[in-house]
Amino acid sequence: LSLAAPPKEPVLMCRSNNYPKGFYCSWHLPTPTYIPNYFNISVIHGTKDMVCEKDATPKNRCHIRYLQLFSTVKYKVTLTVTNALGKNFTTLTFDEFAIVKPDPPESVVAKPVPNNPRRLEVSWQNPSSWPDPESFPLKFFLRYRPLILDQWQHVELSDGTSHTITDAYAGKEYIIQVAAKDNDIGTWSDWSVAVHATPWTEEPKHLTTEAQITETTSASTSSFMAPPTTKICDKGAMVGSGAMAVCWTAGLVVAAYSILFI
Amino acid sequence: MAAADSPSAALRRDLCTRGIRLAGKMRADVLDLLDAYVEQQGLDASASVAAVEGVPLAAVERWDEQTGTQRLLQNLAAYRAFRALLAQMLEEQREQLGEAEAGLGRALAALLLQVSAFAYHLEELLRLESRGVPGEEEEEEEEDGPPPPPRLSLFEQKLRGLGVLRELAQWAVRSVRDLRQLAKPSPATGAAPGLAESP
Repeated sequence: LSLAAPPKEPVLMCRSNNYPKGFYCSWHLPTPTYIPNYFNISVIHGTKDMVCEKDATPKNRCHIRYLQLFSTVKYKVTLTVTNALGKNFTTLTFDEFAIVKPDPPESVVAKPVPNNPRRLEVSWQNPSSWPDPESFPLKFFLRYRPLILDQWQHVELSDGTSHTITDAYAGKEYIIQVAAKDNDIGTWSDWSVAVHATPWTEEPKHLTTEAQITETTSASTSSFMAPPTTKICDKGAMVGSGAMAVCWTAGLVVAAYSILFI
Repeated sequence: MAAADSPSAALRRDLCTRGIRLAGKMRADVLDLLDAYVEQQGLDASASVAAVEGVPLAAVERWDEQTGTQRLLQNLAAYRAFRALLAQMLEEQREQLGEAEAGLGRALAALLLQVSAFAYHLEELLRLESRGVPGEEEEEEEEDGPPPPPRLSLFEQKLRGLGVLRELAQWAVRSVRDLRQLAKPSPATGAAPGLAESP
């Protein structure tokens, strides 16, 4: 059995994710009252009352159109909640610029770059809710790290919706996110949905010698298949015997490839 | 076949780009100066300041419907006014305060230079469009009519200074937006739109 209660001070948030069109305010109660509650919101700009149009969904949200831009006069939003047992309210006062916060970038894609073991190409799109990115351009913040490490790398980008990471660890899977901010005002968006990508790696190839010894297939080494006419080394430079005999030159090449995979 | 940019369109875009950088730097410096001003003048940073006579308000309705000429003329009038207001603030600063606030005085002087440079930049843009640059002499003649307002108290001077800097910070953002609109190429020809056209 839950006891009905008067409302506690409501939690109110206002934000502009579609500047310069307008802003929205949303609210909720910190604890349930178990009886119906009625919300009333008022928005004042200087001496002018503004209309906050209720959204169809969610029901605890309304939006206001800007009638003026670049005003130094603050907005004052008061939310009152009433139920059968009592009443409470909260007030927010803010500047036009302070509440500008875009939605995160959309369609983030990260791809390996062929033949480049340390690069990842990342692209994204402006949030669809941002109405005029040409007149009100966004800047972006990209963060990335290999899954095996906790430390993020950060890059701030003042234009464009793509970036090439050039210092990725070869062969390691990365997690990448992007955030957006109006170029001049407001705060950073939340981080975008994370994407994963691994830089390009060369496929393992087989190493052969003039004696046509079959390939070694160790997981930590790489070998390549030389063209039939290629002479890699003389018989006199061979070491080992039987199927595992390799020449010094081939051995050095194998060692070099092995280092790449550490 | 896409039309190539005319030399004047390219020059306008170049002037707009430089103007955007000037306005961006100006805004950053105004915000730094605001912090220092509030602290050194002993003011409350959140204090509301009523609109003061003579301080051009950046607030505008239907901003997106303005023509290029309207944008340039309103910007020019504003920065000319700020030039005079900042010069007055600097003079008052020198009278009131000694060495302790010399840094504030230097910052005000530097900002005054930036505002003057930006006003000149706007005049260049207007000349580029063969628009008449309104003379400041005409503005002064209009001001000969009413008598000068009474001298403000020290506290009133401080509050007015706060209002001037806050409004200048808003104008700097508005100017960046206005210049971006001006720099946009026309969708029909690929060249920059004429200033009489909206936007």
